[in-house]
Amino acid sequence: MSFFGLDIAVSGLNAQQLAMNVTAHNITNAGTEGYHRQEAVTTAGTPLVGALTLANGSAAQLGTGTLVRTIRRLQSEFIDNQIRSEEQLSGSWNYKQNALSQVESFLAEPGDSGLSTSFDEFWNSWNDLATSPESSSSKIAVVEEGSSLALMINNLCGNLRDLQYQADSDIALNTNEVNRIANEISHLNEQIGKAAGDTTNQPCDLLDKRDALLKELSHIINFQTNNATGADLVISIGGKALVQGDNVTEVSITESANGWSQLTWSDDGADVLITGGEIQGQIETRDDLIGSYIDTLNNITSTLVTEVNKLYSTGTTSSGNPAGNFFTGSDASSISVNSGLITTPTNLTASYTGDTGSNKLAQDIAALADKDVMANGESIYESYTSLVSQIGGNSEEAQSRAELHALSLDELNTQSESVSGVSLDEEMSDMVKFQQAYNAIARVFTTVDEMLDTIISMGKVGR
Amino acid sequence: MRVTLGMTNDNIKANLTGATSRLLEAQDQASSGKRIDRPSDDVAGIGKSLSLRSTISSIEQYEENSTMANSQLSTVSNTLSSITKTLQSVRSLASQAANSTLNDEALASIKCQLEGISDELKGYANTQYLNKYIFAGSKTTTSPVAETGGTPAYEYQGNNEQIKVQTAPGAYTTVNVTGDLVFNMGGAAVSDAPDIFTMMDSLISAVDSGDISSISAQLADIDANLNNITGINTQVGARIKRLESNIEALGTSKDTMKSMLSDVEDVDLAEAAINLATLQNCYEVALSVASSVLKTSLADFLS
Repeated sequence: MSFFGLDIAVSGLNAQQLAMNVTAHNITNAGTEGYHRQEAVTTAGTPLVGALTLANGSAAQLGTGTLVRTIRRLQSEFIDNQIRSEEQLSGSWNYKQNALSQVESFLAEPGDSGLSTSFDEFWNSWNDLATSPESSSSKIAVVEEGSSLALMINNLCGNLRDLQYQADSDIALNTNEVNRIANEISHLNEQIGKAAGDTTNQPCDLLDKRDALLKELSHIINFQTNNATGADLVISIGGKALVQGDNVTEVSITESANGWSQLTWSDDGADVLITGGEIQGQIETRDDLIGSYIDTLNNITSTLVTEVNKLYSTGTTSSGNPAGNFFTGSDASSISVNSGLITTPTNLTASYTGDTGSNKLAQDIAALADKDVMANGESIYESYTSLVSQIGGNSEEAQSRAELHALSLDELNTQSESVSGVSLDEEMSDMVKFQQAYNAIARVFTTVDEMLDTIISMGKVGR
Repeated sequence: MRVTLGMTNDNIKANLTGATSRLLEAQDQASSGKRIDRPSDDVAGIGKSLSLRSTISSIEQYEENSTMANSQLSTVSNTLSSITKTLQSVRSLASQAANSTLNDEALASIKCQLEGISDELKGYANTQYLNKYIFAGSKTTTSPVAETGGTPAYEYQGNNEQIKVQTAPGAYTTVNVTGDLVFNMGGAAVSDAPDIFTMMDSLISAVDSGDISSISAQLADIDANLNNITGINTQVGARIKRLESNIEALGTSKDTMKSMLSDVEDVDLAEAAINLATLQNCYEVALSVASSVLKTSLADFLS
């Protein structure tokens, strides 16, 4: 009889206590975002050889109890990588979806308060003027409808520009976020480097924090990692390292030739290659989507101004003077009705000759509505309708893509949860298991104690 | 598959969010009655919807134009009818005067009546509709017939512009007749007869002097002018008739366009109501499932 039995029991008590602590940690973090379930991995102790001899004369391999080899987290790098690439797509499409849905509400189509109605009312007012070319109320109506059309175009253009500026400043905000996350990750890398003894002994909670930051980063911008689990993690964007261990190369905003924000590397000023994440959505929204809408709107407006003026300027007022221009300005932000007409709308003329009852000019301007005057062979209204359809199409695509990626993110998160999430039922049953084991080992302890007591009492017999 | 608390939770949340957002959309459709609220709701439909709306708006404008043209032409036609009637009475007075048995008093009375009629005709020449002279071409603020005091005694001051109004896509209706044609100014309509006012003057002077043969000779001029005006009025009447059938046709095509627009934009109400009820059910089921799944765990059964 030796004290060895007590040593074995102590190792078991320690192991069960530790396992119970891990369970407690799991249960308390069941709702923590980014937490991965942890597990105490126990192993049997190295056998003691030579303390006892077996019947055949060989040395017995005597077990020495339980050891906790490591506390590990349950995580699938594969699923996490998929989640990150899905987050990049989802971030980009989500941003576009929101921006486009705002564009749609600016349009207010189909409805009575959209630009299409203003166009109709503008052409109709010329038609009204053609039926009563002398009437000053018809003249006032034409000037009013012209002004309100110009104002609607100004407003739509202004709203679109605001969204563009919004996207541009969002890019700057996100750039700060990228740098913040990069710096936090580099600090974590440093801590992980100090904490990690070897690959079997992971600083689980630090790694969880780092993974959460990576997920956050993937929503904002595209990147790749070298899949390192230790301090040597490298995050690169377009082949250039943003974070390398505890080093960070920050990205910065520079102003491009057209005045918009552009992402460049702070060390060499080269462009950052952006292919995903919210930032990509913001750049596309700003340049490809809203940028092209504004171009089309400008195109429509300048054709409207040119065509109406081309006809109107050949008119003659009732006092025999040349009519001048109806519209001033040249694009969507500057179009306006000639200020002279706004102050004295009765100067408006419907006539080429200056005769009060002649309506040929008004007739011809009203007929512009259906004339294919745009450079692409469409009428002004058709061009506007195409713009609305284009916006609708883009928005519809963004909605369905955003929804699709949200669905696959849900699916991936479920898979990840299945591996890494805390199941309370499981923890509860573990808890019971560890408690029972602890109780049993305690029983071993008292039994060995009693046996030792017996031996010690035997000593009294010889006295 | 391992099922965890987070999974159950996410699942329930995703299902409830999905159910509520679909329910919201169905409620929106059922209460607004519109299937297309914004362009992305139906990308193919939005183009159709906008162009139908524009077509309807221009049809309404054509309707307005036609109504306007109709009332203007009616004024023209009524005036022409009055002129016709007046000229008819001129003709009967002239044939009475041409009767050699009349005494001087009777001739004086006829002359007096003819003078009144002459002023009446000048008044007709200057008829206005909505403050514009209807017989002056496009010079609608100038009175079309003026006495010159020289030769010729009367001059047309308007022009011969035909004022047109669009009443259908690509179709125009002329809403005026010019005074030179109506009153035969300078022989514009009937080359071998004088204008109506000169004719009246010479008739009056013939009656005044009792020159029966001159009066008889002028009966042909009166007939020529009378025929001219009747002819013009027939044309105007035909235009009015065309306008009326045009207004009717515009109304029909507007109705058709409106029902097409409704097909594109509006929801089938019965379908929307059924849809709404189904989704409401789905939502309630999702709620009751959530409440029963979330309630229990092993902790409830451990003592």
